[in-house]
Amino acid sequence: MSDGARLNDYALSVEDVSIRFGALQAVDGVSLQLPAGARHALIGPNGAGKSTFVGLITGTLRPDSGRVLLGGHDVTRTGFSARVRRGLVRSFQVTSLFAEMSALDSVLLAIAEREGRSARMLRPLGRYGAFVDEAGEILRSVGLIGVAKRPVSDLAYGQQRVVEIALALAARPRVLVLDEPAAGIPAGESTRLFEVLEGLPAEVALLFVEHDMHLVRRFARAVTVLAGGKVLAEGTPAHVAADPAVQDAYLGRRGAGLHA
Amino acid sequence: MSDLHSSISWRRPVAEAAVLAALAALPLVSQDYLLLLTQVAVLALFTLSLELLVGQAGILSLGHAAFFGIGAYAAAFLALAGWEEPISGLLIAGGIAGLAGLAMAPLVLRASGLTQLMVTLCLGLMLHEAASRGRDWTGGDDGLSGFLNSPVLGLFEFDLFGVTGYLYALAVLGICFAAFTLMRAAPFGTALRGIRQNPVRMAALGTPVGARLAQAYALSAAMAGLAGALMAETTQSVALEALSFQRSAEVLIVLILGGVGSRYGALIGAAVYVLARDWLSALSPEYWLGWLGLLMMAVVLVAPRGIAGLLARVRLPRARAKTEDRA
Ligand SMILES: Nc1ncnc2c1ncn2[C@@H]1O[C@H](COP(=O)(O)OP(=O)(O)O)[C@@H](O)[C@H]1O
Ligand SMILES: [Mg+2]
Repeated sequence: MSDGARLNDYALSVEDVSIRFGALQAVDGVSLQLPAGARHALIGPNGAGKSTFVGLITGTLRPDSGRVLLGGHDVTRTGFSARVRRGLVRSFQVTSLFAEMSALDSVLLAIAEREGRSARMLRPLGRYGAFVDEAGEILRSVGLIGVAKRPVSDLAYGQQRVVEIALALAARPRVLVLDEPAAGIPAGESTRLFEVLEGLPAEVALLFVEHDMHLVRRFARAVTVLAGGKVLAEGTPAHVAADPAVQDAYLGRRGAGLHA
Repeated sequence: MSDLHSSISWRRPVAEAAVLAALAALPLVSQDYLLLLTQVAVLALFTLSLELLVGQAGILSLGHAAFFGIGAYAAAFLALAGWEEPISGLLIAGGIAGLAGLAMAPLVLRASGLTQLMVTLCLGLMLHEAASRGRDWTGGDDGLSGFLNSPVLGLFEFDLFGVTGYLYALAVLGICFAAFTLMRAAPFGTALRGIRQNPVRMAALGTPVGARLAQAYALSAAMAGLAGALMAETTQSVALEALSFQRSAEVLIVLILGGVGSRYGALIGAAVYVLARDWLSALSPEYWLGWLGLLMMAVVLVAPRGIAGLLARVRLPRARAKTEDRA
């Protein structure tokens, strides 16, 4: 509590962050607050800056200006992995896994890391009984128990996306940021994936990037719309979908998307 | 759920202990090959240290002889300075090499790919050059000799036939191999392979990737230093060649020959390499180096994943479903 964190602080508070790539102002003065228990969707046309914003929040990118506060603590200068250890966990838009490892070993590794055991050298990872039990529970809850021991590169793409989620869950996040978790998987499976996310502990703050307005309406309680690196609209899913500016942004660029 | 828990299998450790015991009993049968097999043990240990770096952590090195040489010279300095007890000398030399690794890690880990290769190469060459110039300390091109360690455990003198040296080297290799095996299956080894496969994902799990790699680098350097010290103590000499580029290249060849990523690769590679070199140099004193090169190339072309990879492929079809990448 050294820098004055208070009980009523937001789980995540992003204050006016910007980043520029060459001539392109990819994110331009965006702010966002997530209270504990948030279910917040981030939408916007392709190239709007959503993934870049996720990178700024999670520390894979450094903002040119602005601040990121995690539970009231300024983490703007904190590295990516150090933010994870403080409970800010992300997944990637493009599947990013350990190809040669099984889902079980991957999840075990995530648990070992969370518990500060990843530098231990004597006991085999598979013989940390409590970790194996927990990994089994996670893999069962996401429906991967049947393929837990297969190398993840052997799994179907949809299953690999679920491994991403399993790894994020294993880190026991306080703030979870998912960049298009359902990208590239069939509609039926993406609903199933979000149902897994509904099982998250109520106090976890969830921010997810998602294109499918069905899923946004069903799972998000608040929405932020980005366009051209700026916040175009904010509010409940119904409110945002009815916003003419939002409809313009979508119809103008993609001619699709927002009708629920 | 219970099928997720891995059960302890004693078959492998027992088989490995049996092989070790058979090798330890060899001097009872014949003492002809002990010096050669001691060389195998030293090279196997050195190669194992590189496997930790390359096969597990995915850090490339063309200058690993730096740590082998540091260990060798450290052991020689100690003995020459009157610290003749071999086991403590070995450990101190390994520790010094490990510290050198820790010091160099930030330089090496800043880079990746070809740049990383280049940094390791240059560090190795610079150290070689320094040792070559520092005649007063290192004996320059003449190296160091004329030291003798006291008996191992106060009981076994280093003898002319090399029986003690052989058993000592075998014991050190056995202990290091066991430690490597534990480390490899433990969270640390798994995390290193995770970093090799996808460093960004490891960071996303909260792993301090740079710190883990620095640890791996230091451990590998320490093990290479142990190998160098083992050579110094068993041959009672150190040549400048211990620090040479040739030695760095040789250990990489041996690792590729044996099989990167496999637990047995370093052992098999070292045995095949040293025995083939000995056999070919007797067969063809003039052209043996060419024949050796040809043989190595042939093996690697037939077995791109090394000899251990080839053996695993022969054995794997029946065992595959049960054991996944635990070899
Ligand atoms: N590392 C980078 N360097 C240069 N331009 C980038 C970089 N990352 C993203 N961009 C650009 O920034 C804009 C926003 O990209 P991104 O955040 O991926 O959008 P979204 O996720 O909303 O589709 C795009 O025009 C993209 O080309
Ligand atoms: Mg994106």
